[in-house]
Parts: sequence; structure tokens; C-alpha cells
Amino acid sequence: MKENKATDFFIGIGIVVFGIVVFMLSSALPSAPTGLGSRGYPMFLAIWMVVLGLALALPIALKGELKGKLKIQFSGFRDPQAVIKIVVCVATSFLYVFLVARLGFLLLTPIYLFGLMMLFGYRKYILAGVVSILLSVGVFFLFMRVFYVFLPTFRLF
Amino acid sequence: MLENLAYGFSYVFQPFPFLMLVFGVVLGVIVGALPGITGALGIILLLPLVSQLDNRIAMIMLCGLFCASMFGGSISAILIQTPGGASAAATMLDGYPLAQKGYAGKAIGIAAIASFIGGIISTACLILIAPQLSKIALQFHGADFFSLAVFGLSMIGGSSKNVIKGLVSGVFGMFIATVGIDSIMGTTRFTFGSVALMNGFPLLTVLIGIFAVSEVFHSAGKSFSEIGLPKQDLKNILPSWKEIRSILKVSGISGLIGVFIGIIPGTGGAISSFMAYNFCKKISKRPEEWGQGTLEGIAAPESSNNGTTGGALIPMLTLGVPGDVVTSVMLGALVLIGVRPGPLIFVEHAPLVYTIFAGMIVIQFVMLAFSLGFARVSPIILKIPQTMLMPIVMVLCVVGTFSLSNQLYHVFIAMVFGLVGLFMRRYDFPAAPMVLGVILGPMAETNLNRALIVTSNDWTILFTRPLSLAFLIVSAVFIGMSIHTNIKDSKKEQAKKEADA
Repeated sequence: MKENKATDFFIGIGIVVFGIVVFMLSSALPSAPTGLGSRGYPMFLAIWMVVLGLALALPIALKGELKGKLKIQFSGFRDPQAVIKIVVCVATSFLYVFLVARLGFLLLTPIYLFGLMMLFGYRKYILAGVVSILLSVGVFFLFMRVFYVFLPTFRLF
Repeated sequence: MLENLAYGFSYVFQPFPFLMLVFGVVLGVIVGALPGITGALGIILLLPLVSQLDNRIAMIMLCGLFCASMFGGSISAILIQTPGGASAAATMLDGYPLAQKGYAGKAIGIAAIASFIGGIISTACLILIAPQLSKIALQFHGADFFSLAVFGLSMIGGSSKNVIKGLVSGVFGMFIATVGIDSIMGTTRFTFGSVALMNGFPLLTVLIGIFAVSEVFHSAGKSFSEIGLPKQDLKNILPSWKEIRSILKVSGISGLIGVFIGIIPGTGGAISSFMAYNFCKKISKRPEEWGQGTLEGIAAPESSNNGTTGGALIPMLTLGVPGDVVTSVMLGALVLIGVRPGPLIFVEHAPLVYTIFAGMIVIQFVMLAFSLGFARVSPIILKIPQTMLMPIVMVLCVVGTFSLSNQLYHVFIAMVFGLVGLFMRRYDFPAAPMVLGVILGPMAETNLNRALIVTSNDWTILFTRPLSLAFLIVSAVFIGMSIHTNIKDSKKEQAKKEADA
């Protein structure tokens, strides 16, 4: 529990810093003689962020719940195996979005889908392969022919 | 009104709209039954289809999915003690024990009938209340709308496990909505020179990221075990008349509780179902039987969570303030098909509104018929492995986001918000207030600005307008009470730990 409190403390401080940055950026925006102008509303939100960040961090510090815990502990990501799987999932998803414009939806999606199924722990390889290919082809033609949404296709240059 | 409703029915019963309504209901039951796949996610997956359809057809399909997903959650709650969504968690309390006694079929049957009763009550309230509320909302001042936005955020933030985190999430959502060209002076804000960011973050892209992509990222860290389905035959699904009569009172009361909770912005089926369960248990003649498989214990939460459906649609349609997470996504879908919800919706889009009303009534009957007929084969849905489902959801999210704008940039944005959503989940920051913040942010800014211009920067307008003051007082009281509860809970937890030590 103390680990959570320590993390919450640092998140609270992070929110305060974020609020201050938003306030400073907002103050550079134009104001208006009447009404909020461009900057009034973001500044108003920034003040609330600072207040809420302090409300999150201060009680933890004042109660002395940080003793011996003054280091960032990622309590939300404690299980190393789970973290690795999440990181791989996030990284492959970003890579997929990056590559799909070049390699095309039809070529890349079955591989991505199959890979994700394996990552999630599905172990019926043949079925996973068949579903990956059929679903990708099905979605591709559904969107191209029925919805007229032109999904990225393979291009050499 | 009757004439408009008749028009709505005549439209709903045309072959294609009716077919899509049934499709929405069927998909809703399936989506609701699958643990981890929520009604909001179901609507997100349908967005590419929504943008291709006539707005009336799209909305009755989405309403069908919304209502049916509430019932669908009860199937897995009853059969495998895992609610399909948070709304069905209370159903598990009596549904699963009844299934263990060998009456799983009856439990599903009662859930279907109670859902029908709750749905009918909520639809009746929707039809009666929404037009009146929109007339009242036409009299709203800018200050009232601003305070309404504050009220909505306070309700959803205050209902969170940690109030401060809920409010942080809401304010962060409002901040996200400020990115891009501002509507007041046309200045670019927080774009850092990026042309792509000038249009801000599209609502649906943010929703897909926060609700769907983050769910997949989050699930990647879980280990899924095979679902052990009960080996009993699902029979005697249709309850006897005596059994139906025994749940009528509870279903009626719970349906009304659901409508009331549903109307309050930011709440939803999860809160209402537990409230109805506890309330009906208190007034029950045999409270000691609750939790051991009583029919009333299934009817109360099921009627209540379906009661929230019509209730949640009331503020969404008339004020542009979603009642819960699913209606947040529906609001995004409405914007996608060119409809701006608000007080003028009855003037500008009357055919759509009355088609929704008529559709909601028809949906309840279709849902009842399908649920009772489908109950016997419902365990098949639960056999779909999550390990296969989640990757498919991810691909559909990518395609769905791409189809909204034909730009991979938006898919990238959805991924980024998926990452934001993942961190929020892991550190107990609720996502719903953030989404409401994104939706209510522009409304709050525009109306606060309007109020200040009219009064030459007199902020006291927020406290001198009676309605605005009422919204602010209720918000402050609710937040205060929620913080008090948080502190009390935390002290209790501390004391328990010390006692254990």
C-alpha cells in the first residue's frame, strides 16, 4: 500500500508541474477585453490541475507515508512478465501503424494478428493462422467494397 | 407527439431499419456477454458501419446494442460468475447461486423479463421527460450550461473510487479539448506548430484510444484461463406466471431507480444496479434469502441497469451531456453522422428523435424475444477465447479509426490515447471522467465565455442565476460528501491493517 501512496505522491507532483507548464503556456495566448479570450479557459483549468495535484500529493506527504519510500515505484507495473507482454503489445501496435502505410493492410495484418494472438497466449496455431488470414481478407474487402474505405495497400516506393 | 411517434414506428418497421435494429440487439447480447467487451466497445467497433448508414438507422442500431448489452452481461454473470460488464456485477450475487442450484435457464429467463420491464419503464420516461427537458433547456443561460458541465464532471468524478483522481481525470479531459484552434478567437493552442494538431483531438479517436485500445494493451498483461462452463442443460427458461408476478414490484421500483440514476450525468448501470439491489433487499419481506439465488435478487439489478438506458439518453439528447460511458460514445457517433445533440434537437432533428423513441420500444420486445430464444445456446458465446478476441478487437479498432478520416495519423493518435488509458487504468485514474471532460470541455468554455461577455466579466453570474447556483451547490455538496466517504474508507482500511498486524 505504501508503494501506491508513494506513486500517487509523485503523480500528484507531476500533475502540479503539468498544471504550471499549462498555465505558463496559456499566459502567452491572447486575452480579450470581455470574456475568456484564448487563454482564460486553459489558465482556469491549469489552476485546477495545480489544486488537484496538491490535493493528491500533500495529504500523503503530511501523513508521513513517504518515509523510506522516496523513490518512484511503478506500482501499476509490478509483474515483470506482464510488463514485458504489455510493452511488446504496445511496441508492435505502434510499429504496425507505422508499417501498414508501406506494406499495406492485407500483407501486414495477418502477421500482426497472428503475433498478437500468440502474445495473448492463444496456442492453436493453425486456427490462429486461418482466423488471421480470413479476418484480414474479410475486413479488407468489406471496407474496400462495401464501405468504400480504401485501406492502405502495398507500395514499393 | 403521437403523430411523430407513429412516424417513428412506421420507419422502424421498414425492412432494412428493422433488420439493423435486430442486428444491434443480437450484437449487443453477444458483446454484453463477453467479459471485457463492453457496450461502449461494441459501439466503437460499429462506427465504420454507423458512418455509412442513415442517421435514424444508425441510432436505432446503436440503441439496440446499448440496451441488449446491459442484458447480455447477465449471461456470463449467471453462468460463470464473471459479469460481462460492471452493470451485471450485482446480478451475479443471486444469479450465480441460482445457476449452481441447477436453474441457470430460469435465472437467464428472469433476467430477460426484468430487463424488458426496466427497458419499457425507461423508454416511457425518455418519451415523457426528454421533450419537456429540452423545452426547459432552451431557457438556459450560458452560466447555467457552464454549471451543468461542472455538475456532470463532479458527479462522475465524485463517483470514482478516489474522488481527487476522478476530478484530475475530468480536468485533464477538458484540457485535451482545448488543443487546436480555439472557438473564441481562432488562436491555435498547444499545437506546438503542428498543422495536424490544429483540428484538435477528434472525440471518437480519443474514445477509441481510451476505451478500446487501452483495454487491449491492458489485457496483454493478463493471463487468461479457460472458462469453465457449467455442464447443466439450460431448460425451463420461461418462468411461470407466478414467478413473473413475484418480480413485478421489484422490477418496477428498480426500473425507476435506474431511470433516475441514468439521468444523472456520468453515472450508469453499475451504480444503479447495486443501488436497486440494496434498496429492494431492504424492502423485501425475505431479505435473508437474498444472495442465495432469489428471483427478486436477479430482477432488481437487471431491471435497474436496463432502466438506465433510457435515462442516460435523456440528458444526452436534450442537453448534449451523456448520462454514462456508452452514451458518451453514442454522442460521438451522433456527431459523426452530423447531429449535434442539445435543446434544439427536437426542432432540428425531430424525425431522428421520434425514430429513437419508437425504436427503443421495439428494441425491448426484440430483446425479450431474442433473449428467451437464445438463452439455451448462450454458453457458446462464452467459448470464444479472449486470447483470440482481443487481437481481433485491436485490428477492428485500427480499421475503425482509419475509416473515420482515412488518415493513419488518427490511428496513431488512438494508439497514443490507448497508452494514456493504460497508465490511467494501472494507476486507478478512471477513464470515464476524462471522456466526459473531452465532451463537456468545449461546452463549458463556450458558455462561460458567453456568460462573461453578457455580464462584462462579472463572475458572480455563476452564483446569481438560480439554476447555475443550484448546479454548483449540488456539485460542491456531492464532492464534499464523496471526499468524506473516501477519508472514512481510508481510515477504516488503516484500522483494519493495524488490527491485522
